[in-house]
Order: sequence, then C-alpha cells, then structure tokens
Amino acid sequence: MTPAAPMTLGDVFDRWFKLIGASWLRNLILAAILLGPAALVFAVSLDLGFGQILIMDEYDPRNLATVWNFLGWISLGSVIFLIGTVAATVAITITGCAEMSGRPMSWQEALRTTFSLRLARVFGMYLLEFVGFGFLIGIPYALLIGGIAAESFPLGFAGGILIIVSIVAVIYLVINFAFTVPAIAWEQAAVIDGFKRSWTLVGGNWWRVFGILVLMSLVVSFAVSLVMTPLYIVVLWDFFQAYFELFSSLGGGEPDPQIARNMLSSFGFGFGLVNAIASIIQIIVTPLYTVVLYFDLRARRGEFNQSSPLPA
Amino acid sequence: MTVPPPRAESSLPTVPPDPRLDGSWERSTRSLNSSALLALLGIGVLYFNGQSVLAIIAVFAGGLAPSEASGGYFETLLKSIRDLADPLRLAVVLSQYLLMLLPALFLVRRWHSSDVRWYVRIARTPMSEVLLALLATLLIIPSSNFIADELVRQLGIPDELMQIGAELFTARGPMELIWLVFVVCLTPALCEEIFFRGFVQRTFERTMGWRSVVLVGVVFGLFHFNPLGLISLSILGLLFGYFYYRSRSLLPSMVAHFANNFLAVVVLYGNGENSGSSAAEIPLWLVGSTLPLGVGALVWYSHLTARRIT
Repeated sequence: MTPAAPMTLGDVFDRWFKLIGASWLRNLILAAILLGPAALVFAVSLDLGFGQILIMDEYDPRNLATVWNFLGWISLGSVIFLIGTVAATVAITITGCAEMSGRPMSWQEALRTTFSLRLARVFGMYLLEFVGFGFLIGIPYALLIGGIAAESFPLGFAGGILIIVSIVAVIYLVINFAFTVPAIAWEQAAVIDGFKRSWTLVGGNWWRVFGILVLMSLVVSFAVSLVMTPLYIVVLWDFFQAYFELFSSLGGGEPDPQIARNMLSSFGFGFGLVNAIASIIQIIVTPLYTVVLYFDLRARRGEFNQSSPLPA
Repeated sequence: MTVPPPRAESSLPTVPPDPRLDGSWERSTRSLNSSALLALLGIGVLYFNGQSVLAIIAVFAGGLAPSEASGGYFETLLKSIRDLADPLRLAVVLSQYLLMLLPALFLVRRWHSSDVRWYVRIARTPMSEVLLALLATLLIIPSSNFIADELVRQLGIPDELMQIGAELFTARGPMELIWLVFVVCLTPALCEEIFFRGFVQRTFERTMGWRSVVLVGVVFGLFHFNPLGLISLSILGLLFGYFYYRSRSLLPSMVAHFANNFLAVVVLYGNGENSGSSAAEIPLWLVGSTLPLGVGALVWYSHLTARRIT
C-alpha cells in the first residue's frame, strides 16, 4: 500500500477512506481500550461535579468548597481523558502507518508498540507545544491587558497587533509540526528530531498541507455531528425533557427552580458519555488523515524510491 | 434492460466498463465508495456552512427590524420568525441550487460521466410506476409522521415551539403558498433527489447493490439534522431510494418527494394559526388503515418493476 508517487487530492481522500475501512475495527478496539476507561472517569466526574453544584442552595461561604470539589472532579476527568486521547492517537497512528507500509499490524501489537518510549516522547512533544504556543499567545494578551490596566494606548495597541501576529504564527507552526506524531510514533524520532522531521516534510508544501488539513477536519467534524446529533437526544433525553418543561414554564411567569435542578442532575453523565463517544469516533479517523498526508509528503520527497519505510 | 452486477471494490470489473463512464474517477484506480462518501461529506460541509452564511446575509439584507409584537416571549419570537421567513426561505432555495445541485452535477460530470442525465438516471418511466410510487408514499406518510409526532409528545416539546418551527413552512395566502410550493416542494424534490439518489446512491449502488438503498436512506434522515424526525425521514429516504433503485429512474422518487413536502405545506396552510400545534396530530386509526395499504402498494410496485432488476 506504500505510495511510490505523490498523491492528488482525490487520491489522498481515497487512501484515507480506504485506510479507515481497512483498520476501523482495530482502531475502534484500541480507542475503546485506551479512551473508554478515561471517558467513563470523565463522565462520572462530570456527574459528581454537577451533583456537587446541585446541593448548593444559596450563597454560603461553605459553597466555595463545593465549587472546588466540582472543579476538582472535572479537572481529574479531563486530565485522564487527555492522557487516554494521546495514547489512542499514538496507537492509531502506528496502525495507520503499518497499514500504509503494507505490513498490517494487529491491535495487540499496536498496543504493545504504543507503550514504549515513543508514548513518553509524544507526551513531551504535546507539552512543549502547549508551553510554546501558550507563551506565543499569552504574551500579547498580557501586553494588551497590561495596556488596558495602565491606560497606555501604545502598549494596548502593540498587544492587539501582536495577538493577530501570534495567531498567524501559531497556525504556521501548527501546520509545520503537524507530522511530529507520526515521526515520533513510526520513525521513533526523538522529540526535537520529530519537530525537525515534520518541518522538513512540510517544506515547500505548506499551503497544500494547510488546505487539505482544513478540508479534512471540516469533513470529520461534519461526519461526527451527523452521527452525534440523534445520539445527543437519546442519551440526554431526560435533560431535554426537563429543558422543554422549563421552556413551557416560562410562559407562566417565573420558571420552577426544581425543573432546573432536574435538568442539571440529568446532564453530567449523559453529556460525558456522548462526548466520549464523539471523541472515540473522531479519534479513529483523525490521526489517519495525518498518516496519509505523512506518506504523501514522504513520497513527494522521493523517499520510497530509495529505500523501504523505516521500521516501527 | 439488463443491469450489470455491482463492481467489486477489490477486484477487476467482471463486465467491460461502459464507455459513457469517462470521468476522471472512473479512469483512476480509486474506490467508487470513496467518490460517493467524499461527495456526501464535501457537499454536506459546503451546503450547511454556505446555507448559514447565506441565511445571515439574507437576514441582514432583508433588514433587521425590531419586533414590536405585544404579548409574551413566544409571541415575540414567533413575530421575529415571521419577519425573517422570506429571507430565510430565499437562503434555503439558493443553497439548494448553488451548494447542492450544482456541485453534485459538476462532480458527476468531472468524476464519472460527461453524460450526466444518463448517470443520474433522468429517464422516462411508465406512468403506472410513478402513480404507484405516489400512492405508496401518500399511504406511508401517516405512519412515518406518527412516529415523529409521538417522539415530540414524549419529549414534551411545547406547541408554541412547534409552531415557531413550522412557521417557515406555513403560507398565509395563495401567493405565499405558490412561493412555498417552489421553495419547500419543487426545489428539494429536484436538488435533493439528484444529489442523494442520482449521485450518492447511484455511485454506492455500483459496489453495494440494494444495500445502497438502506445506507443512503438513513444518511438522508441524518442529513436533516432533526433528531426527532430521524426515523420518519429515514423511512422516507428508504422509500425514495427504493423507487429509484427499482425503477432505474429519478422520476418516481422526485414525484414522491414532492408529494410528501406538498402534503406538509398544504396541511400547514389549512391549519393556519394552529400550525404545529397538537391540532395537527395524526390519529392511530389513520395509521392502522393506511400502513397495510402502503405496504401493499410497495409489494405491487416491486412486482411492476421486477423485470428491470433481473
């Protein structure tokens, strides 16, 4: 399946759909193993979090502890979910790369391969990106806020201009570093080498990569919303029932606070569950378009004419 | 007419390719399912995002006059929707023709065949088949709508909200009715049928055979982003897909689609101010009496079109 020649846009989509078709079951198993427990913790933490908020009646200093409890549960769920997402991304990238190289890999093998140094490196990569991009966006915001606080027009103006510049810079860098995950997960590159490798691959093809990635992410989010819209109603049935009850009570003057409580109490777990399902669907297709483009860029650099793909 | 067997995705075609299949996708080794899927999602993204932009432009071009309705929250909301109805309807029409029909025809021509009419099957079909498709649809509509109504009832959506939802499809006079027939009945019957059946189902059909009817029928339901209407819309999608698959023509499904929407517009017109309220509920006896007749009409349709499938 390794592409010997660069792909056209139609070929990229065709390869992507074929890759999804060939590996969806393995990827679904991987996503369920790596993301399932994390998603469950996230859903339970949302449920507990909303449960904490519901016992608050009126303003009371002790309610601050309840709010902290709520935030604590949500943060715990989010962190575990984030870790699961990164692990699933690495595992599915490995499966996709193996498939594209013409050496299909079982989900067990992909799972074993994931839990190695490369997973730690991908975590490091995301951490570096988070810190780097955070600074890039954060500093102009700090300037703007500082300018407003100090009532200094030049400082605020410079901050405003820099925000626009930094957003453009972040987009530029995100595209250039889009293939760091496959470089680390498949080629076993170190973090900095992974960044360099991705930068080299994108070189000369920035606009093409940007266009295709935007197009593919639009297509994925549309497909996910297509599937998830009815699921939201099914899973959050009680929530919507209470919502419409609340809506009806608006006509009769003051809404009943008990209905609002019912609405909130039926929200947490269902919302967490639906989000988890949406994330699992998204994660079994999203890393695969990066994989297809990664192989296309390698073919454009003539890498498959010289030697076989690097081993996993 | 003998129908060639479905094209196997992983093997060479068992029959020589039709010379009319001269598009770029046909000449490549790409999968036909990829073409249908890419068109479905690509045109979906274009259509829904474009429609939102067009709706915003239409609303601003129409003027955002502040609503001066007296009464409560619902009355004010209803008045606002009434004020914005025409710009929104215009946005729907433009998006159907420009963002669904035109891209679909363009992609068919570019990817599959320069003979677009042949590919999407704009073909004559016996009048008996068209009339039978119309009859079957009219007999199935009460059952499919009953399911949607029951879900609305179970969820407890207030009548006022349903009325607001129905406002865009409610005519207040004969001239508005004619305009609505064009917007809600004629336009989707043409654009959605050419896109869903003529392009997507036709392309899936070449590899999946009859399964394409089920797949595209459900996708048709999902594409309306109306979760409570998903089952009823999917039933209609299956019905239109079945007519297309059996007749090898777009005409029966177009007529059936037009009839379904026309019935909805006429019922809302008849209900007037009560549109969307429980006054329009479908009685169970109507479902019980029309459903067996509808199934009977479908069996008859299957018998009538049997010679084309062999």
